[in-house]
Amino acid sequence: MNHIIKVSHLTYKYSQNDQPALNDVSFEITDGAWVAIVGHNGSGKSTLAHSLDGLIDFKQGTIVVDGVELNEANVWKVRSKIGMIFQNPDNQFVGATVEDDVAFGLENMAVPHEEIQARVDSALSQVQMSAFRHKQPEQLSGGQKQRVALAGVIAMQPKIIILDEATSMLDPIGRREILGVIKRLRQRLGITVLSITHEIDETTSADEILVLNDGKIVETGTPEVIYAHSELLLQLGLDVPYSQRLKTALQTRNIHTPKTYSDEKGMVDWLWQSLLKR
Amino acid sequence: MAITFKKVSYTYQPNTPFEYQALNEISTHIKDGSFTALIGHTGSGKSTFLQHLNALLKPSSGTVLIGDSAITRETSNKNLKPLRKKVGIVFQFPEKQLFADTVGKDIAFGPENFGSTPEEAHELAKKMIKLVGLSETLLDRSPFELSGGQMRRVAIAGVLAMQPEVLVLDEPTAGLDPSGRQEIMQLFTNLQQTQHFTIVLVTHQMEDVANYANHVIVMEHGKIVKEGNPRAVFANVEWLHDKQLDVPASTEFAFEMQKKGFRFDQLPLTEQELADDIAAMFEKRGLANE
Repeated sequence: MNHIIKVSHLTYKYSQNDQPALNDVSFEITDGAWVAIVGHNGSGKSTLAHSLDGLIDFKQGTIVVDGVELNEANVWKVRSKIGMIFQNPDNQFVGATVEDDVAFGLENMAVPHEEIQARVDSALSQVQMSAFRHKQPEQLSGGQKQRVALAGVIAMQPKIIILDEATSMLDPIGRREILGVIKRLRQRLGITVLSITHEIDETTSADEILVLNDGKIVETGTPEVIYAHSELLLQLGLDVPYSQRLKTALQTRNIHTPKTYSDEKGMVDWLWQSLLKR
Repeated sequence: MAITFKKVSYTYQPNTPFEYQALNEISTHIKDGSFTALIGHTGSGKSTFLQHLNALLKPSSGTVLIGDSAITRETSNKNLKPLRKKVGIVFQFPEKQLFADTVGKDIAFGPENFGSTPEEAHELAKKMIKLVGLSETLLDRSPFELSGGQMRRVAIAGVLAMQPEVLVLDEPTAGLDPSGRQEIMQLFTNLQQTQHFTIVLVTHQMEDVANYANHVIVMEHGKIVKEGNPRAVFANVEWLHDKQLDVPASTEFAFEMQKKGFRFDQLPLTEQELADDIAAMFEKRGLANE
């Protein structure tokens, strides 16, 4: 299998005397996968995202992105492969209008005018914002602004998209919009997605979850495996998916529940099997 | 302190091409000591409603009663300052408004502006930082060295230092992680119960509405479309879905069970209620089998 990101023994301290924000972190991400990194605020997950994009100058460990080792000489090459979406929709809108904003990165790369047009058109249609191309940022909701940010990233044709708490300032509708767009992008373009979040509900579509605590990876697995370890998630100050919380509440009432993780629909089916089926 | 709205309408930029009516003849009563949740979409009029609670906006028509003071279109701005002290608003992402070089100065800024001496304001800062669950030792630190959750508490302490009777919270947990969210909500419940605050909470988190509020106002297109206790408001799941509003996860789960043929006397609001209901079903079935 082809690993698009390879992190080995990454350690980072913000200042000499601090606890390391990242402590000997190693992992690999398969090309085209959706990997979620979860951890509470301060667990080191944003530091990790920033390291991958060369925004932090780490001294210990190596990061290889799509075959290129991240170092001072290669940082722009690596950045061209990664598109990042940050938390605050208002801080990343640089254009006067939606289409100017999406074109911004391309103009900086001196892409020819016709190609900019074509890429902007295509990117806006991918995030379903074509109808808004002449709008100004203050006319958009938070979710729409984040979709524009995503279009700006797609227009640069990255191999990897990193979402750094990209939905945490949005209302539920905005959040669903963004997650829906990401799912479609993955299907159409086969982009690798790395999402960094403390919202456990946003990890259900991931192929793999890495759980980070105190700068270390403490658990790795598919959503089903991670969700089943609800004690660990609670202990780390994270949420547990609703169906798993309900299961725990039933266990304390002496009801035998299935050992493996199931989502809400699965739980309703199990209850129906146990209680209503003749 | 109670707040009453009597046929309150508000129009932005009246008599211009940008004229927009954000509130349309709203009448409601927020009881003294209650915990009211305000829900509705972006653009439903929640923010405009909120700004009437301490007369940041005056109604275009109708009356807002804040305690004993009536606010109408004609009310002079001169008389509003004491009211603003009684109703404290914690805006979204309040930590963005921190500005002073120490936490203590930031918290003391409001009371000093409202006429407290520096010593009084400092005493208030000491009291309020404890009330929001932070250590007094932080008072001399820069607010910008603190974690996000701590910064938010400092901002809330700054509002509390005005010693309001009503606390209005606009999405106070947005952007916090789960444990931070829980701590902040617990803080508000304690304030309501021990300090007898009246609380108005604007939120998209229906779990918080179910767990903490005793009164819910649902807004749409500048009108109140439903009002009542959480159980009454969340009883009609289809109606809320229709309005694209969420319901608490337990209510949603029970609603899905209903579709499969399960019966509930009333839909549960919390996972403990739901688990009790399901346990009762198991018990009933067990007894029937014996």
